[in-house]
Amino acid sequence: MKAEALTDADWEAFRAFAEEEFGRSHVPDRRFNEHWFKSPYNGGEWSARISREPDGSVSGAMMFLVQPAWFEGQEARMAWISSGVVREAARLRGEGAALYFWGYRNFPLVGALSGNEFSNPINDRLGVRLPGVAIRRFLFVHRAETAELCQPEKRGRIDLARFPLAGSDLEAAWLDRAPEDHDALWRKVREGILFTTDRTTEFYRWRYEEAPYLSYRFLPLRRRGTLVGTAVARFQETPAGQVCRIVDFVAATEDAADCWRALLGAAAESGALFTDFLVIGTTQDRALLDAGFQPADETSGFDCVPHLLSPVEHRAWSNTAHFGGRLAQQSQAWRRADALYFTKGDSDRDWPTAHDLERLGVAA
Amino acid sequence: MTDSNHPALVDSLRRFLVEDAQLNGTEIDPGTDLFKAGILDSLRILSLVTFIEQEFAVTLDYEDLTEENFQSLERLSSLVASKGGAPA
Repeated sequence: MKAEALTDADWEAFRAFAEEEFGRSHVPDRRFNEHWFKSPYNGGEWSARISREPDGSVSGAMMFLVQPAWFEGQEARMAWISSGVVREAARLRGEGAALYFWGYRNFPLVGALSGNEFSNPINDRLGVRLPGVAIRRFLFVHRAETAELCQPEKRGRIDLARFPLAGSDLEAAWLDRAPEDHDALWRKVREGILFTTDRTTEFYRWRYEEAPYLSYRFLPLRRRGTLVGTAVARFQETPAGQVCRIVDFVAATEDAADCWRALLGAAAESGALFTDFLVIGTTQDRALLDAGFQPADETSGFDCVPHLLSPVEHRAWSNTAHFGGRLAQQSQAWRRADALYFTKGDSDRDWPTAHDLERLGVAA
Repeated sequence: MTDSNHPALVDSLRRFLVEDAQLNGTEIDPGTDLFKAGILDSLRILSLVTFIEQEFAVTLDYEDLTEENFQSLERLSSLVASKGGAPA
């Protein structure tokens, strides 16, 4: 039972193991892996851990995506459990337990968004799953062609009258980098949140501007020249047209609804079929609903618009979220849905799929 | 049955394992190799960790999570005792 640090010397053995065990969900090239798992927030060291067979070969791996966090008024390191797998024989020796345990006990803060139900029992034992705290999706449909992405029997649910576009007098223009005055806005906004990613310009540069394979656009939102909001979007191609996926959003509470309205206007002008936003925590709920978003869930029926678009898939997706780590375990204050704020872009769920890489001409 | 240095701790750990792993009818001696007997896997080890920390009010460190410490109820009870844990 040992979770060893991955080193450069292990790369080839790790790559072979990962290709075999992670399958098509894994991006094998070294540059990609070094960007995410040797990040400046882990001191440039590999943040993946491995276990070994008695002969020294790799028997398991756990990938931790280390990022800056803002936790109860202080800056701290947070590790997202990105992906992990342990060969069956090693599981019976407790290697999987060691990998998870190392993560939850080593990092000040840990987050885990379960891609499936299999890891929930382990995360339930080591982390905290708060009632009502899960990944939720909000949707605004701009164009009727969105229905083409839905299963035929559900296409009638797309009713544009449910999505009235309200105007905004904010100035909004897409950029390929974070606005220079973003940090001042973020430092003010973060004071109202107990537990979130520390969304600085430096983080945006690493997370979005320098992200391998995928391109992101920044949308500064200004009132008479003063920055009141920043959004980050990934425009994603689908068979029916382009969609606007908001992966990050920052605005003060009093400006948030107006920022969302301006963002929807900018997305509509870009020709997006729809705009969506996946979020953990309720801090943006009121503003999203005021701006005209609808929850994309069974109640509204708008879960008919698929979330998995590359390629389009209609299967249900997991929405569990766990949090833990040394700092998180010591405090109760953050354990409320309105104290947390994490977005789709914060964990690893916005990385290229094998379908994306094939489209880009990169061998997956 | 092998004698134990911490019989009350062993009993408590045994009761938990029997219930958690649904091992009714299976005899677990203090010295039974829990890995070889197929009683422990990763999930059950983490269940044990959670149980030990809650039941005995101790904290296990990453360094405590070794095959040696989890190999038998006797070894586990020694680990718990070394952390200052006592049966509730």
